[in-house]
Amino acid sequence: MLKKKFIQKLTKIVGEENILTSTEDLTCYSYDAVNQKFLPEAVVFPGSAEEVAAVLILANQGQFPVIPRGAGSGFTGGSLAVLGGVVLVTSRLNRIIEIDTDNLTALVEPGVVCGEFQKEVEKYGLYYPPDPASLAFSTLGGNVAECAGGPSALKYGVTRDYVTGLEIVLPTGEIITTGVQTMKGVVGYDLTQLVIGSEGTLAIVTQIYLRLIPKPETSITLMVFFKKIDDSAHAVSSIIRNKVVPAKLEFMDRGSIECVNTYQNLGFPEETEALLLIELDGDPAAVENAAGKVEKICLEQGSFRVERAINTKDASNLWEVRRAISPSLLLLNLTKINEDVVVPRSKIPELIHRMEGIKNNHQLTIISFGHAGDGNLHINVMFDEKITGEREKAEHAIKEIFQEVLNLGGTISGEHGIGIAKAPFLTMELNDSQIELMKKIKRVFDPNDILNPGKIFYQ
Amino acid sequence: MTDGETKPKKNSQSSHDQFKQLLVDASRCVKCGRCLSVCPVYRELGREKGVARGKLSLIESQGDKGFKRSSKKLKEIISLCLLCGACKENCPNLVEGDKIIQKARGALFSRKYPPLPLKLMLQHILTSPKKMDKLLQAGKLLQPLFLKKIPSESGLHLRFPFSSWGKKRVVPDLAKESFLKKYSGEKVPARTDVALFVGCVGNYLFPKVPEAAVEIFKHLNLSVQIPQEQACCGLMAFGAGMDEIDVELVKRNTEAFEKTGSIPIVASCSSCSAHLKHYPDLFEEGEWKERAKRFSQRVKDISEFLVEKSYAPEGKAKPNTLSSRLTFHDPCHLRRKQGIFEAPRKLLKSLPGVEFIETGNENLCCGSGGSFNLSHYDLSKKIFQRRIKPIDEKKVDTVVTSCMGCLLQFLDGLRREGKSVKVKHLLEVLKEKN
Repeated sequence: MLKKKFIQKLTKIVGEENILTSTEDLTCYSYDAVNQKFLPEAVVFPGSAEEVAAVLILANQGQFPVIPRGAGSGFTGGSLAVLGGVVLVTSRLNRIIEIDTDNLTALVEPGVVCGEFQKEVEKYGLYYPPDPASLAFSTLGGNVAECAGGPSALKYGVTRDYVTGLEIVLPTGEIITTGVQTMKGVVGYDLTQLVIGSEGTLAIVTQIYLRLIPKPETSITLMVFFKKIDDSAHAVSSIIRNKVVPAKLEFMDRGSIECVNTYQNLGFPEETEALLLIELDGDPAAVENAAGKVEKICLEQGSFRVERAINTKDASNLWEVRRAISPSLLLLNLTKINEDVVVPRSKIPELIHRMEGIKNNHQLTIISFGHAGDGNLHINVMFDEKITGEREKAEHAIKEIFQEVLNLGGTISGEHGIGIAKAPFLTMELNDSQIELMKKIKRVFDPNDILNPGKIFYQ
Repeated sequence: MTDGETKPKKNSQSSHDQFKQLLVDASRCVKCGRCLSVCPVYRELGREKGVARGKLSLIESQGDKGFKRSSKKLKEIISLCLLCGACKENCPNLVEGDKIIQKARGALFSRKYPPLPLKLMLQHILTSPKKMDKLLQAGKLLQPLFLKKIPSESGLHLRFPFSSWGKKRVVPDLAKESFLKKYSGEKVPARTDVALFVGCVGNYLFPKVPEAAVEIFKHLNLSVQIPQEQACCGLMAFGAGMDEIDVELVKRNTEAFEKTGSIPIVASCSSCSAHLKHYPDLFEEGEWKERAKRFSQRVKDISEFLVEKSYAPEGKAKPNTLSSRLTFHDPCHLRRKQGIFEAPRKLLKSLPGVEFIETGNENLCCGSGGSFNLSHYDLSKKIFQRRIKPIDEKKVDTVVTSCMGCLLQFLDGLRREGKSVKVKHLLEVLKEKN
């Protein structure tokens, strides 16, 4: 319970215009993309690492939670104030401090929007690959907290592969840097990689050192249509087995195609049961070569049609539509539980096959799409909340899916993190030793458990 | 139809049902966050209250009781929207953010919303053309007291700036005589081909715009009818959630134009044309819905009408004169609400002596937002500044648009920024180059 004196002290730290306390304002910060509501007790907008530190020191004194928030677009409840407290929004820390075209690096603040940063470095012929579906609005700070991925991860890797160093504020208020500003370094333990993906529970990030790569010269986007879902899965494995690594290799099942068609009619052929959306990039001759190989493989694996996007605008639009799939599923007017599982790529056909089995056994709507190329599928179990027993059925199916995934040598979260959404399933993948070690690390960073409590390890 | 005060009569059961529907609609938002990337208000404020997602969560949180506890804060937040529709355009779940927020304003109306000055203006003035005309005459007399003419400009500064209405805001000169009054003496020909809907700004501030329409119709050998009993289209009242006033104006306009048969109704302002097309949605099933349907099926925006009539300019470019570098600003009510963006471009590109430039953000809201620029002048200014950024870079010399709200915003905004870029209505440009 946040006492009045702490509200006054917070106001002194950030300034009157940068603190919200009315119920109406707080309501606007009670959700993230999980769409569960937890009302915070205050919302602050610090303007510097020093202000962040002062807020955290106060939080230790007053024993109240502080929850860091970027755009509030996470899928696992990372920015929800589940135990009350103060939401700390990074929106004022939104400068691109430097883009170094000699070293191909950049220094940014956490509130910078991912897509805006990508557009900015593109002006210099540079590329920041991590491209979560939320890139148009999610922040780099949030991307770091969840180690965001995206379709480009197949060829280019995820957020952690591009962060060389950080400036962070520890829960106890110290401001330190981690890592290096160079391309490599191994001095002491790798605190940078520990913080990346820690879902805002170990530190608040106030600066990010990023490495960039040259922008690929050209790209080709292919749409590959299948009448059988199993054929599409085999095509994915075959492409990789043939040592062709596209920049992006995305899978969409019939359910996801139908939903996104309602949002924007793409006029896909009626018999399509599965679609692969593939992008190849690089030097023009190599791209043409790779595209030819991929087209051949897909036709061999049973595709009935392979199309190339006509121009950059057309391709851009296709990828834009791909990013709209997840929210568009709600057009079905069902409740959605979305999962983000990964299996070894060779096991994708088996996973998809077992998914069909679970679908039929439980008579549930299950829609899948995602980064088939690196074995990461977003599986959405949809059910009607109003029918008794449906939620239990859905939750049971989720557990079954997770078990299948783990049996195939996979993991229950590829990019979305654990937060609160997957906390009940943590022990399916991690054993007591692993969890105990992680909890110890958390205690070292945050002895009073004030930074984003109630996440990851809690039921 | 009374000229006096219009008190909204709300059947408490139907307004309860309406509120329940509002909750259902608002709760379809899944909080994914996509609207953050396109909302002009959020772009400037960086606060969730400024974006659809935030407002919808606020509406949802009111629960079944409706807006009974409607605080000042709630009203403040619900008013913080341009109703530009960018959120709806980009929502994969097809949630109509702008529509829900407008309905929320309607639900708040009985709870001391909108602010009194706006309410008075809409209730008493817009619904009475006689009052408007009298005010105009009085205004013309008193104008020198309150307004100072800017030399060599067709605008005036507010002499005693009321800061909430904008310091140094530029307003256009009041017309000597309203357009409708000027045409009141005209004999209605036996056969007419098109009926003209004038709109308030065209009627009282820029009569040269509807005049240009009349001339262009003449050029196309179309005889025009201008019903005298037409009134304000009602959009401003609608935007403020004052549905009863809007409906009164809707009925007045429907009746006025029913007398013209079934010829097309052309509006020279794109905000008007959008709202006129929207009339049937304001009614439940019944007689008035049918009448409104027949009315709005006849409505055309001026640009789509002229393209349909294959309007082509006749003039030739004057020798040795530079081409005019002009761009078209897409009014939200034309591009988003009517899906029209090719027609004005087709017309402009066909003009002699014109180089057509796209600024790259031509569909970004100008920040006018109906009464938004009155209640939120500074924010409206910031939104406008972002819109006009590329205009300098692309060396545009004329901005053309077809919405009076946008026109006023550009006139005020560009003068304030000290830019010499001209601002013209589409019809003015077409008439000039003919």
